[in-house]
Amino acid sequence: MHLGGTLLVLLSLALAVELGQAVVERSLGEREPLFAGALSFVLGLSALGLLGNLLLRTTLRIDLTLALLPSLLVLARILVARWRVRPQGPEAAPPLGGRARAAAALFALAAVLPMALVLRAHHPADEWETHLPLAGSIANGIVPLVHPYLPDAPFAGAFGFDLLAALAGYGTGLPLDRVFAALSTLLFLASVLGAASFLRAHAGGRLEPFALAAGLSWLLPGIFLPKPMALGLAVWVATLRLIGSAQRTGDLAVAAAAGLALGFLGLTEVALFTMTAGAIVACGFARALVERRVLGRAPLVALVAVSTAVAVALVGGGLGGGRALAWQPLLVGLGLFLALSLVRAAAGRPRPFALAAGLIALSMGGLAAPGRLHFLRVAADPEPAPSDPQLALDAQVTAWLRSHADVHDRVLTSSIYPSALGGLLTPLPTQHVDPLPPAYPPAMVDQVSGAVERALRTLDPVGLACLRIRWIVLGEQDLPRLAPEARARLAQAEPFRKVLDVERGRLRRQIYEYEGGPPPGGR
Amino acid sequence: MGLLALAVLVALAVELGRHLATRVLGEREPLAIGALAFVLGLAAAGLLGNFLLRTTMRIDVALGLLGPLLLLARLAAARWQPGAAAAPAPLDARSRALVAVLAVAVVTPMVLVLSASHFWDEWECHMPVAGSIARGVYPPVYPYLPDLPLNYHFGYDLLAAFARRLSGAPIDRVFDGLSALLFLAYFLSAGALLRRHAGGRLSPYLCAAALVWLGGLAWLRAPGADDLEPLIGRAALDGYPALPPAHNYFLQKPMALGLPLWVSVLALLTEADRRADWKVAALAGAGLGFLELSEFALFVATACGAAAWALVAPPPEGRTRGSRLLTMLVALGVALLVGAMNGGFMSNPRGHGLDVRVALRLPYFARTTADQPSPLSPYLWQLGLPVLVAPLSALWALRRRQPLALLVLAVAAGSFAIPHFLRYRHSSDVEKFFVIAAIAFALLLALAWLDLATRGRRGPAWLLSAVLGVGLTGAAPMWVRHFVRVMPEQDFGRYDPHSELDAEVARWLDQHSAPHERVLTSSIFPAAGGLLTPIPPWHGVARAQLEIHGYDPRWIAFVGDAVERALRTLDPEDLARLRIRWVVMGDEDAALVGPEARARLREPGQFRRVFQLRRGSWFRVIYEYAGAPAVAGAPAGR
Repeated sequence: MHLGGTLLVLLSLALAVELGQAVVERSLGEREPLFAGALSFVLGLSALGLLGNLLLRTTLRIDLTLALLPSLLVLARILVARWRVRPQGPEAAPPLGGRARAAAALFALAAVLPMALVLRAHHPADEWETHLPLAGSIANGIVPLVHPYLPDAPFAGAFGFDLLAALAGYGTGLPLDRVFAALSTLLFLASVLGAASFLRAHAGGRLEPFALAAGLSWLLPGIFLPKPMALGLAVWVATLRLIGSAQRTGDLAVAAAAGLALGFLGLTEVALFTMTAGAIVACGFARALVERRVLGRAPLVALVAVSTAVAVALVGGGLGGGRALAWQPLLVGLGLFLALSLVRAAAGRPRPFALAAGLIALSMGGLAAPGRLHFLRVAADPEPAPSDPQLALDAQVTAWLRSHADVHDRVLTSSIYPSALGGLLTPLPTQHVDPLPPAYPPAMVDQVSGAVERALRTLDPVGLACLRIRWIVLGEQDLPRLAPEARARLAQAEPFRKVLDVERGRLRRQIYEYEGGPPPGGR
Repeated sequence: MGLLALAVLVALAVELGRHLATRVLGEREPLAIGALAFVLGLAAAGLLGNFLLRTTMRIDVALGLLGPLLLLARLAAARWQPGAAAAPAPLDARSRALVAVLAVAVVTPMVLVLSASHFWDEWECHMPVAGSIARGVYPPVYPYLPDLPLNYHFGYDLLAAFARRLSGAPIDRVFDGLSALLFLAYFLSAGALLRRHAGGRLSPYLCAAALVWLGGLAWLRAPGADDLEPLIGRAALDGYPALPPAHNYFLQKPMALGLPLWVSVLALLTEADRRADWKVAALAGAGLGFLELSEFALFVATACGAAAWALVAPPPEGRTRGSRLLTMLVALGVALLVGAMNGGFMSNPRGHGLDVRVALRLPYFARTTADQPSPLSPYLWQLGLPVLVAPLSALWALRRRQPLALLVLAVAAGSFAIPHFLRYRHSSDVEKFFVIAAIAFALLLALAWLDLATRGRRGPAWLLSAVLGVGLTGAAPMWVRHFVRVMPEQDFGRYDPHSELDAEVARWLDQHSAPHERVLTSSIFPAAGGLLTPIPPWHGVARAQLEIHGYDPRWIAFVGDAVERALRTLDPEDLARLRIRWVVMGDEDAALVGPEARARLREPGQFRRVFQLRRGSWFRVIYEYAGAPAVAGAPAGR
């Protein structure tokens, strides 16, 4: 069943990486295979995300999106082919030797392996309550995007990662949590290599950039866990490479390419986007002031990049709902700046300086070793454990509903898992803990939240109609709380029809179909 | 400010269209350039505007970005230097003046008709859709069923919505102005197409005049034309009236935009084929893609016709079939890609897409009355002379091998065959293929006549002129009777005094309600102001209208029944189902309101009277319902 979809996903990914590789070759002249591979992967994913988002928003269908994506990627590749190959500039450092590359790969693997274990084992609250539900609903074909907890409001937040994961999950049929883990691991690797490539391009060095990038990635590893940052950081370093090249050469095409990557960042991580866009404009104009050429190339490059990015992000439905300013991008930026300074200090100097840089890199990674250990221990502690019987029951409920309900049907439940596991539209489950983004109207959030609580107690037809509920899931925690009128309603033959009743020890789930709900197929 | 923005957008769009008309099609005649620039510019604005709306979902952002995007498109087009096009020399001043006079004579009656009446399809479909898009409801919905996506073409409504949003003019006046300009563009661009492919000076425009008014007599079918049925017969397809076609010619909004666009697309397709230029082919494909959003039946007929033409018709001299096939492949590939991204018919296979059955049946076998004058009567009377002489036109086209004639023949023959073979249960639009066949055969006939006349074959040309003249004269009384006497009487919206009150209600709600808030009313008229009014039970028209547009009967029943109950009882469960925030009660509803509803209206805190209006014994009262669910942005789950 998923063979065709898997092939389409693989084809799209191959075409996207090929497109990314063409952009890297033409705009950066990068010759080191490790760097070229990482940057091609990230820029390819950005192109795939931008075009996929474009198709999804215009066709409003994920099947058409996946089917048409390869043709748009081919068209984009044909367009890039007309872009002449740039003579390699000073930042295109020679490739590493075989031994050095092996050592660099070891650095990267050492940084990535523990994170891969964490990513596989652990999903933080915002993943269970925002990203898995959102990606699941996109994979189910719910477009335009909505938060499954508030299906009557347009989605307010960053969705780049979720979109890519949904396309992969829809095509391959793999569980989304596995897709999340695999994609995040690859992105972490790409971030480390991308940061190293940035350091090497701007400060030289051989292994120092790898050591520092690996150290830097573990300075605050928790930053990487939220999905917008997982994708955002990788795209960010690729954008920095492009904008650096554009500023050096004054090439407006490269600036526009940087703008496209930055625009995808606007769909992915709003804080990183705004702070980077601000920094690009500030640097462009600062350079113009220093050079005393206000109408020079530097501000023009900055304006082209940022205006392209803003237009792309606006048209793509980005820049909404997220925090425009945050401390994490500042911290990451400072870290990269510090690393840049260290590599600059070490590169081209006698060996003791290189050794010093290595030591500093190690210390950056190891400075907060107890904290890192804590992170590994806590983050790797699955929440909830896959063996949790609650989760297993909810998985059973979700599987049943996915095979019997229309994707637009609303489900009344107190549990967060039917949405996380199957992308089902479950108005604000009472067990949710992760707050919704502030962009949602508080009156609406309060109204839905109150209606769900009342409906779970009373099964009041007006409340159910307000929430457009067609399916009701009651668990062992909900059943004792039912009010007498709700029990009386369930006891009647209509309009609540029990369709599933599963028990595991003291745990229980019942699914009712509410016949007073809207017909299937509505939105 | 809004008017200025509209003027800037129109100027940018027309400038882009002018560039394409002169550079790609090589037009040199100012009248032709003006018409093509207008149509191509509108297509560009519609395509890009819809793209921006689909991606941003916000009409103000889309309109704000549309200007820069049109400017970028114009700049990109400036770098495109296609080869020389085959266009005729400009007309001399005297001929141009005569064509202009003819244009006034051709367009004036249509302007009068357009400003005098709007038929039910406008009041119940296009004005509501356009009005709701203008208010910011996107993706588009049918305001009678706001919980379901609109899987229908809405290109005309989109352009009207842009104009309404920026100008603030009433939507019916926007329709009148837009349609009048489109009719002028249709006439002039048809004349230019005929002149381009068959030569002549004034004769192409005379043929265009006959084409735009009498391209088949399909326009005869309209509300009120039922009394003609004993004379001309009637036939049905799958329960829908097929002959005479209910989708009457130019007055039906998708056709009003679709026909001039179709003429431009034919010009682009033949130009792409002549030059074997894939860029021109891609441009033709983009135009064809917008035709998908404007008039789906014309899109299908043209796309299928172009494919058949590329496969079967002999290529022009010096060209191989392979290169023609490649050119058409590019055009159709782009058209399908654009069509898939447009929304509309192609967006939902469950609604209006692929679920078709192929079965041969002749419409007259299914005629509904026994007193038909003849089984062939529907064909003879309603498809008109061009269809009757179609075999002769086809013979001429096959002999002359003129590319445009063969393309038009493919479109015409396919359109005539489709209703006989295609069983399509989701909407009545299948009957539109008869209209298209009539118009395409008329265009073919005009090409044949011009060819005979310009080649000095005066005998056949005069004979054909006489036949056409008799045909036109014979049709004139019916035309006058229909448009002058019957149609204005059928404009229930314009002349219904209730509609004036409802227009006031719509104006008040437009200012005080959010775009996605729902209004409970029994009248169809507030929807024409762009309000979301779940199936108003006004004379049962709305349900019938929804059924022929292929909506799920379960949803029609769910919403329709809830509305009827809610209007009687104001039951909170039904109001919640319908997500009602505003309730409009009129004098006709007062008699139906039950005691429980009266009690609820008296309860403090639930229904707040916010507006009332009285004229004689007629009145309207608007209540705001406190129990309404909060809505934000796009409709549920969208």
